[in-house]
Amino acid sequence: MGEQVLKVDADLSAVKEIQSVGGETVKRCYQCATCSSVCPLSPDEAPFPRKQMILAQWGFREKLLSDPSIWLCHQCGDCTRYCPRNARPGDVFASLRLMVTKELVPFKFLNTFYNQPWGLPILVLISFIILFIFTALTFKGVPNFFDAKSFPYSDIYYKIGFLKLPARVVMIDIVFLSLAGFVIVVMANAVSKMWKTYLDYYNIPQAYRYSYGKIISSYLIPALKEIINHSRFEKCGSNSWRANPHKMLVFGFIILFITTGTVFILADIVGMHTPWNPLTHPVKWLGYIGGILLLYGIIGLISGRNKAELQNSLKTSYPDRFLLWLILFVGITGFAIVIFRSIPFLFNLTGVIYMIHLITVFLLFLAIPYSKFSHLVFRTTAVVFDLYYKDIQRKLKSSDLS
Amino acid sequence: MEKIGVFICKSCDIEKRLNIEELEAVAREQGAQSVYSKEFLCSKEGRDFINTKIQEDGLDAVSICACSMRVNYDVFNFGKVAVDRVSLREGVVWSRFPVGQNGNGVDDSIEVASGVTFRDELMALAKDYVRMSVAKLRVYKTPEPFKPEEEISNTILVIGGGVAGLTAALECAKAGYDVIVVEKENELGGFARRMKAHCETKPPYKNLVTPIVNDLIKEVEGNERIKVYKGAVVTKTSGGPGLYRVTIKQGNKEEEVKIGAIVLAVGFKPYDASQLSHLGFGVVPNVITNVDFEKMAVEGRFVRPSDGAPVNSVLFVQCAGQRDENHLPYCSSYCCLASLKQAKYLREANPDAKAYIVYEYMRTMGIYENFYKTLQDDPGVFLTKGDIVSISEGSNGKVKVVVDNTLLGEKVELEVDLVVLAVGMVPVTAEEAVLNLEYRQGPALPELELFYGYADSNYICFPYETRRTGIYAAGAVHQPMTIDQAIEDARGAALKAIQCLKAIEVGHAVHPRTWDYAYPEWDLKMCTQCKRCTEECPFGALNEDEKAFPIPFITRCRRCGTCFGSCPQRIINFKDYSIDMVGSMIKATEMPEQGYEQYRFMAFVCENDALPALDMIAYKRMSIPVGFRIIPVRCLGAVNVSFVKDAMSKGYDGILLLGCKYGENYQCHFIKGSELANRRMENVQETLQQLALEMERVTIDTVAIDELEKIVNKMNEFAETIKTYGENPFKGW
Repeated sequence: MGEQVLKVDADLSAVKEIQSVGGETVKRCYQCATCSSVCPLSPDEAPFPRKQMILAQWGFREKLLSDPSIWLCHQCGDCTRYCPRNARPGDVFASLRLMVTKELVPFKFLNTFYNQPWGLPILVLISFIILFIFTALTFKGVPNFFDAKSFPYSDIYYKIGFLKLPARVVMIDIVFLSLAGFVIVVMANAVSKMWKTYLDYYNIPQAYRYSYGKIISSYLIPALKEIINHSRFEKCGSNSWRANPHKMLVFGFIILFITTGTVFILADIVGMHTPWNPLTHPVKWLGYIGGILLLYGIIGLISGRNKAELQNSLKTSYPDRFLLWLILFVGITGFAIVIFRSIPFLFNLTGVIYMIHLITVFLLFLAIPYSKFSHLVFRTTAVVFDLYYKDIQRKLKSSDLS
Repeated sequence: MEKIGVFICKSCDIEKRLNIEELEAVAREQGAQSVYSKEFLCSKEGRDFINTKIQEDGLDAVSICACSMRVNYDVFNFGKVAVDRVSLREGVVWSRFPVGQNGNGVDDSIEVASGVTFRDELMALAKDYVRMSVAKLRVYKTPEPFKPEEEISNTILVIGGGVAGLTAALECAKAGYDVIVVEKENELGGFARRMKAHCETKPPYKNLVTPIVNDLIKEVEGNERIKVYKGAVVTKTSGGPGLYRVTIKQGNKEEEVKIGAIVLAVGFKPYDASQLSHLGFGVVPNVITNVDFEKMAVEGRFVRPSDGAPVNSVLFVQCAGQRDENHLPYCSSYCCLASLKQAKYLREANPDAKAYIVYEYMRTMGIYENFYKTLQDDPGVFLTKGDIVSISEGSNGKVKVVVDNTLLGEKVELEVDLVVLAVGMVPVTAEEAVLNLEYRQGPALPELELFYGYADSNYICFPYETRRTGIYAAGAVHQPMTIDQAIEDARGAALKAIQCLKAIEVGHAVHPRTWDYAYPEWDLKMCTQCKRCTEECPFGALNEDEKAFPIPFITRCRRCGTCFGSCPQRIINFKDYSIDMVGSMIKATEMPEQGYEQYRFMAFVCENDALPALDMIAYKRMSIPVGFRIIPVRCLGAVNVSFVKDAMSKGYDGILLLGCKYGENYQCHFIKGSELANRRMENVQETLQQLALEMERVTIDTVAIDELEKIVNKMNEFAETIKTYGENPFKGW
C-alpha cells in the first residue's frame, strides 16, 4: 500500500457494540498472533484472526465490513482455546459477524431485537400480531384457536382462478411468501453491497469484475458443493465435533425445503389438499426424515456446545443460544402438530400448537437477515468470493508470467 | 608461622591415586613440624584428630591437604590457628586424568614420556602443592582487625527525601540507627509528592492509590531518630565509612556532621523535552510531557494548553527519547506504567474520551502486567506498536500524528487534542556530583560508562553497592524504577548501610570479602610516589598527600589487592597475602631439568569465578593438563608482575592468568581488576619480546563461571601452543 496513509479515528461505540453481542473479551488481545498460527482455516496470504482483532479493538467498522475473513472463520475454537490472554478470537469473530450483519441490512432495530434478550418478547409479539391479523382476515373473523375445526382446519375455502385453497393455506402463503420476498430483497441488496466492498478492498481490476451471472455459474456451484460437504468445517481442530451435527442440520433444512416446496405444488397448485395420511403419504415421510435430521443436528449442536465450553474453545452467547433454541422449537412444534392432530383428546389443541409453530417459523425466516442465521447467506457469499479471488489471483499471476 | 602441621586426607580418591607416604615425606622436607594422614578429615573424628594434634604439638598453622578451599571452610576452622587448604581432591585427583591415543581414559600407569608415567606427573603436582602450602604458611602472618583511632559514627546519612530516601530512613531508624535526611527541596516527598496517584504497591497491582509518600513523610517527621534537613545540600564528604565528615549546607548555614554510612537516594529528573523537537515538543501546540499531564490531572482539568478546549482524545508517545542513542539509550522502566495510569485518569474523567498509546515495546515491570491488562480491557484505550513518523499541527487546534509499522498493518494518521510524550528518567548523579567527595579520584561516583550516569556498580553480584564503599544507592538514582521497586531498593540499601557499620565495628572488610580481616599495608620508605595505587584503586580508597604519597582509608578498602598488584616497588602487602608469600610458593615448587619432556605451567586463577569453575570441572571429572600448577588469587588485579617474573625465572614454560570478563557486561567482582591485569600483562609481554621469548608464554584470559568446556579447552590449547615453542630457556638457571 506504499505511501497510502489511513486516517484513523477509533470508534468507541463500535467497540462497545462488539462487546455487547458476545465480544466482550476483544480488548484483551495483545497481538501475539498465536491465534493466526493455530487457526486451521487461516490462509497464508491473508491470515486471520490477529489482524481483525486489533481492527475490532479500534472499532474499524468499514474495514471489518470489507473483510471476507470474518466469514471464512468457522469458529473452530482453536484460537480461543490457545489464546494466552483468553481474548477468545473465535467468539469475537462471532460478534463481528453480528456487527457486519447489522451494518449491511436495513431496519437495524430488528437486528437489536434479535440479538438482545429483551428483544425476544417483542419479536414474538410482532410475529404473533402479523399472523393474527392475517388469520383474522383470511378466516373471516377471529377463529377459535382451541377448536381445530375452527383453526386451522376451518371449512373456509378461496377460489382463485382454477385453485381452491383453504383459509390457512391462503394465510400462510400471504404471510410467508411476502416475508420470503422481503428477506430475499434485503439479503440480495446486502450481498451486492458486500460483494462491492470486497471488490474495492482487494482492488480487483475491472477486467476481472465478472457479471453476477458468471460469478454464480462459475463459483456458486463449487461453493455450495464445498458448503454441503462441510470441507472447511471439517478442518477444524478444537470444535471439529460441530461439522457432523451442522451437516445433518443442513440436510434437514434442505429436505424440509423440498418437502415444503412439494406440498406447495401438490396442495396449492395441483389441488391435492392436506391433511394427508400421516402414516402412508410419502411426502409426509420425507418431512419426518427432514424433521428428525433437524432435531438430531440441533440437539447435537446444543449438547456439543456445552462440552466445548468446558474445554474453553467456545462460548455460547445470547445470539447463539437464541438461534439454537429457535430451531429446536421449530422442530419440536412441527412434530407436535403431527402428534396433536393424531391423538383425539389433544386434537383441539392443534390450533394453538399450529400458531406457535408458525410464530417460530416466522421468526426463523426473519432471522436470516437479522441474526446469526445470516451466515447462511453471508458465509456463502464469502466462500464464493474466496474461490473467485483465488481463481483470479491465479489468472493474474499467469498473465504476469506470460 | 613456626609450628606448621600438615594433615593429609586419604578419602575421596586421594589415597587411590596418590602415594600418601611420599606426600608426607615432602611435607617434612619442606619443614613441617608434624605430618599426619587420615581418612575423612572432614568427619567429626577427623576434626577432633586435628584439634588434638594442634593441642599436643602446639601448632600455630595447619595445612589441610584434602578438598578445595571452597568447601568445608566451616569444618576446617580452628580459631586462631592459621589454616591453608591444599586442594588434592578438586585440584589433583578429580581434575587430572591421563588420556589415551583414542581419547579414552586410561590407567595412571601409562607412560607419558620416556620413563615417566602419568602417576609420576600426578605425584609431582600433588607434591608441589604440599610444598607451596608449607612455604606459604611459613611467611603467613595472622591478620588483626582494623581499628581506627577515631571514634566510629553509627549515624546513617540519607541524601534525598523521596520515596526511596524516606523508606531507607525509616528502615534504618526502625533497626535502631540514628538517621539524618538531607532534602534539596523545601518539602519532603520528592517526585511522588507531585503525583495525583500511582499504581498500588501490593497485590493485585491493578488499581491506583493516592501517593503513599504522604504516609512516609508523616512517619519520618514523627520519628525521633530521624533528623531532617530540608532545603539542604551536601557540600563536602570526607573520610571513609564509619568515619565520614559530611558538611551540610542549609540556607547560608553550614554544619559538619559525623556519619557512618550513606544512602544515596537523590532520584531522577525527567528528560529535557526541549531535546524532543522531532516529536513536536516546543514546536506543535498541545504537545506536552507526561510530567505536564500529571500536573493537569492534579489540577483536575484536562484542557488543551493552546485554547483551553476540553480534551477528548490523547495520544501517548512511549519511548519519547528512551532507548534512543541520541537521547537516553536505556529503558526508563516507569513510563509505560505512567502512560497507562494517565490514560486511566482521562478515561475516568471523561468516559467518552479516547486514549491512544503508541509504543515500541510495552513494558510494565513485574506484576504490573496486571495493571496493563486492566487498562487494555478498557474499551476507550487504543494500543498499538508503531513508529512515530511525524507530529504536526492538525485542524482545529488538534495535533496530527502519523504512525508507521503499526499492528493495524498500515501507516496511520490520527488527529488528537493532545499528545503526551512519555519522557524518561535521568539520574541526578548524571549531572551533579551530589556527594562532593573529598577523594583523590574525584567528587562524584566514578562513571563506568556502562550505566549512563546511574549510581550503580556491579549489578550482577552486588546490587545497591556503588564504587564507593559505605555509599549505597537506592531508588531512581540507582536504576530506572517504579515506586514499588524503589521501596524494595531502599530497604536493601538500608540493610547494606547497616551491614557496613557492623563490618567496620568488627574490623573486617565490608564486602565482598566480608570475612577478611587483613588489609593492605604500605611500607612508605620505599615509595616512589608513582601514584599507581592511588589512581588504580577501583574504589578510590586512597587519597594522596601533597607529595603524592598515598594516604590509605582502610574502611573504604575492599581488599581486592589491585594496589598490591600495581606496585612496582612491591611495598604493599597484606598479612596473609604478600609478594614474599607468592614468591616463596613459586620457589618451593620443584622444576625438572632442561630436556625433561614434561612441561610445567603456572596459572594464577581468580577466586571469584575461575576457581569455582575449576572446582566444577573437577566435580564433572573433566580433565585439565597435569602440568598446570594453580595459585588462587583474590582478583587478577592482585597479580603483581613480580609473580610472573618469579615463575618465568623458576623455569615455568608458560603462565596463564584466568580472570573475569571486563568491559561491557563485565563480571569482575572488583570492577577493574582483570582489565588492569590485562594492561599490565601487555607490558610483561613486551618485555618477553625484548628477551626474545614468545609473548604467548604469558597469556591472560577471561572466563565466566559456567564456561567449563571453554576453560578446559583454553588450558589444553595453551599447553599445546607452549609446547610448540619448546621449553623455557631459563629453566634451571
